[in-house]
Amino acid sequence: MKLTGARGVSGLGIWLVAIWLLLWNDLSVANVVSGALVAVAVLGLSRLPKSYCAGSELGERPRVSLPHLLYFGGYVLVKLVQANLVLAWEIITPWRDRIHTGIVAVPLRTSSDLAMTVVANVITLTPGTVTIEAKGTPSVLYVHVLHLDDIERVKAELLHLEELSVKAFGSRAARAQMRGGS
Amino acid sequence: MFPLLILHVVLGAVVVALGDRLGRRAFAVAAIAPAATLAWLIPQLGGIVDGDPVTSSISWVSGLDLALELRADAFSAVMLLLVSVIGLAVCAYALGYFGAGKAGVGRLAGLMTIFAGSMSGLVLSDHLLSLFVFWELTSVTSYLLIGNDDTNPRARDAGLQALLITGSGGLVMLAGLVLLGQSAGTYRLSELVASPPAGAVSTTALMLVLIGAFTKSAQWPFSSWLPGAMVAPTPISTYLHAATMVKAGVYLVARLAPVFATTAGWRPVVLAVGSVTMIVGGWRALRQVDLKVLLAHGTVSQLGFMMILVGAGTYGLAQAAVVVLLAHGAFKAALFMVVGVIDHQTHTRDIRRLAGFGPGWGSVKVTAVLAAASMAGVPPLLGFIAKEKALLSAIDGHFIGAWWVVAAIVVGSVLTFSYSARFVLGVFGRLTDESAVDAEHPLVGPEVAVPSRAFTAPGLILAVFSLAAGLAPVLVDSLVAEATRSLHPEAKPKAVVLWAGFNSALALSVIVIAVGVVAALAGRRVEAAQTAFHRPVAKLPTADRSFWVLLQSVLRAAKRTTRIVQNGSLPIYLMVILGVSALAPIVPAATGLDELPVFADTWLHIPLAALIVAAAVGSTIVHRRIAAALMLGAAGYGMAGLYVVQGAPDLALTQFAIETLATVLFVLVLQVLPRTFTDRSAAVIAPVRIVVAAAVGVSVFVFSLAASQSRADVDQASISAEMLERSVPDGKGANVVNVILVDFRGLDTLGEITVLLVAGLGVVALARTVHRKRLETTSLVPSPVVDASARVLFASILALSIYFLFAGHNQPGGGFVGGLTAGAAISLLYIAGGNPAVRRLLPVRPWTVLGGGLLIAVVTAIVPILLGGAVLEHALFEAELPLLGKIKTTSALPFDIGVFLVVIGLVLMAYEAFGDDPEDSEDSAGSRAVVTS
Repeated sequence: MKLTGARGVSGLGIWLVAIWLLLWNDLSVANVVSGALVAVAVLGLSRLPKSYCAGSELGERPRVSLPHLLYFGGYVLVKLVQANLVLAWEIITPWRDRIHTGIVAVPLRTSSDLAMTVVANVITLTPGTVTIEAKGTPSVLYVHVLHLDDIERVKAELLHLEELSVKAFGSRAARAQMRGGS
Repeated sequence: MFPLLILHVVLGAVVVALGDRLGRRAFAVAAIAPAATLAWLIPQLGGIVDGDPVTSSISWVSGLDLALELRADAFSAVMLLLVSVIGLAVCAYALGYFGAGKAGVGRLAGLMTIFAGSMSGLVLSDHLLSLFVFWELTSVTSYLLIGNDDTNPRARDAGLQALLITGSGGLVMLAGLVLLGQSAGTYRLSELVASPPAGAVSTTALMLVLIGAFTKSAQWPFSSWLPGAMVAPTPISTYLHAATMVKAGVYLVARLAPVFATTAGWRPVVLAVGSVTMIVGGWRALRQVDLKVLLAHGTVSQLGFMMILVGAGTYGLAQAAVVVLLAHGAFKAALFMVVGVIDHQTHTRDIRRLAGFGPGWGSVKVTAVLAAASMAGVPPLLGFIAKEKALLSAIDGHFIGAWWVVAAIVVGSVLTFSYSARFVLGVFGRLTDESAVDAEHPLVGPEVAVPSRAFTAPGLILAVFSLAAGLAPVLVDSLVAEATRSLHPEAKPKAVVLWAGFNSALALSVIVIAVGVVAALAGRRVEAAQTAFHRPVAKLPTADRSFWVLLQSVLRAAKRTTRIVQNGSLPIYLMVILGVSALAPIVPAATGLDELPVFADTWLHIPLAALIVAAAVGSTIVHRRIAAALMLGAAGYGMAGLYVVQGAPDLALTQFAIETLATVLFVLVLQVLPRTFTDRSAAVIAPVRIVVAAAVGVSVFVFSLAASQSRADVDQASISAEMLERSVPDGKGANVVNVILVDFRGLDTLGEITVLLVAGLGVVALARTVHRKRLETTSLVPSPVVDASARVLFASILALSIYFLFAGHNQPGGGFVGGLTAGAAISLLYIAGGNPAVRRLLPVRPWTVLGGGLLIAVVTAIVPILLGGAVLEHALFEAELPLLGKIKTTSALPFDIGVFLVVIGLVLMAYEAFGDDPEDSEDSAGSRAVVTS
């Protein structure tokens, strides 16, 4: 996900204009124009050092598959609710301490930055799991887990998440890589 | 008159700035100033002598009756003549005195010009306060001139002593002048002497003023600085420490004496101090072997003489004083010039090593003899006339102590004659002493190079003036008479004449000269008698030694006090500051309490309060610093929660933003501190800390309660209602908090961001004094995940901050919140890429952002004034643009942008100061200079 590329920039720009309109809560020509100006200004400022954008990119064009995207979204939502409930139960029943923390290294099959970023952030978003480190080529995520009862199960779950995300918006090369790897 | 004073200052500044580029020609340029004074004064002199003073006034603060008022009457004209004529002579003389290529000459010439301006201002001031300012300016320029050779410790010490004595005397005098001005109801010298105040206050005031005058005119026991000041180059000594500056005290006493001489204590004090000064100065002069120091003690003696004459407060003595002023100015300047010539040609001023000069030295010898004779009071010179006049007026003086004055003048005059003779004998080489001569310090005699005619001429001219004015006193008679009348309007001064007939004064003069001649002939025996007298006396403290002992003990006491009060322990400072700020308001606040408020308005208050209390207490208990920082953050979030519950979204937003940013910055700083708090060897023991902390807590609690209840006593219950009402119509904004910040109380905000900026600069400067190593721990492994996530978040948060900035006038937000939000975005950038990423954000340095923000805010505040409105007066801009619709904005927006930039600048500065990668390698020198300047 090279944000210095034209696609990445324009995607982020559209995202910023959308935020701007949502903030003002008013869809008008003036707001769209001003939002575009703000987006240009912000994007001009958000230049990160080159070395941090050096991640490899396979098949530069991400292809969004709508059914898979919907399924992915639904899956994440379900997981979120589930994890929230589990954690809430954990908090209100402190006498039943089932917490067994640990760090799991999950070697990913894809080397797509976009997929990796999405997976890492979804993991962090989910209560109970936090991505504490993400390394590129070969892609490895280090994940802190609250309930580490079965390492293989945790790994499998996260790999499933990876597969879903690649199916949802992986590039052609990423999909090919996925099929080859699994 | 004002252009004249401005000319002095500008010319002086230019000459100082040119430095040594002009060489000794600097004095030729500097001579323009006294020449201009003279050119201005001479045409006016006719009118002034006819009793028509020249005045000029510039009103400054009319409400406080502060004005620059200048007034040149005949007495001022006499002083001005001294300043300008001797100034010219000294400038001409300095051209010969300073060799080519001597360092520091330009500065001397420039400072001397500034001094001349100050002295002119002093004698022209009609307002006591402007007189004081000029008075202190002469002290300061004198200090700089004495210490001009700053590599010489003796010069520095002498300058310091002169400044401390005359400067502190000046401060005492200021107190007196203020008392005097207040009790009289006027600060105008001319009005003051027309209707003098009476009573205990004015008596006290006069004593204080006298102390100032005594220090300035080197009266005993404040005279020790004047001989010390002789380390200055001779032209400076001639001008400041013989002819002009030291007469400032005499001048002021002369101005006040006519009306205040009869005040209780005045005459005893002035006459006693003057007499002692005259006699002690003469006695000391007689013992010197250094010609210049001899003259310095002689000046002290003569200043005592003048102090007696002007302080007595009769017009006869005042008239004598005016003649002495003129005579002394001429002969003492001439004598100093003689010493300077000798010093310059022979490199010594020691009379024991001067073996007489050859035939080419005729003009120097003539100058020395004429000037010394005038000083000794030998007819037919001006000095004789002055002394005759003084004795005659003292004998006729109808005041208690008149005979005391006569006796003091006679004794002083004998001494004066003796040291004048010693001076002349020394110059003629009659006082050589083998014991002071060795291989390194040989005798100097006729073989010495003859000084150039231009070098000796100024002194000769002044000496000849002493003779001419003595032979034909009519030259100065009318000016002296009018000067006397300007001091004593009722005076009927008799003409100044050389031959006043056979009278008691003449008899006394004959006695003085006879005794003086005998003493001079028996010079060695007098010396022996003095030595014998001083053997036991030497054990007594002299004024000079007392001064240094006093100064040392003051410095020691200051050091000791500093060591106790400023011991460098942060915990103790904090304890004192917090303790005082806790205890000071608690009593008045507690007495203002009527009732305790409702415990909790809603049940939501209780968990929030519990959170705050738990976090606050927790932060004091935990041992790990990072935990304490997080606890503090939690307490802050709790506060924000309270704001939400109370319906203050704007405050809550600000609080959330501040807490977030503060916690991040805390963590940043904690990287360089130990992980845990160390309790060992704490400067303040735990129980005391607990008491102070509890006191602060209780105090804030009580104070807040009292503050919120105190409005109940006022008729207008709350100003909030008014603010809410006026917000939209007057401030054109629906968010009343923001309208208050940028409009109603915009000037406060301007002040606050200025303080913020200064504090930020200070913190960064402090942090940068510690050299830190690059921290390895925070450098992240380059990660595409963090990179991409940070980018998306950064851009989104930045967009949010811009929204806050623009929406703030009508909805929660504003420049401050916007800036803090942007700060959070910058923190994210820092986490992703460290300081390089933060630095790459903007092409300018953090302080540029900071200063730029303040500049925008200030310009927004000032522009309305330039357009004829009030500070920060807002303007509403409305425009109907095609397609876009109606655009509305107020002039408060740029102000808010300024605030926004200041906050961002501060965050950037914080990362610059505390982040990893302290910039000590590349352009640290340049950037540090910017920070500290």
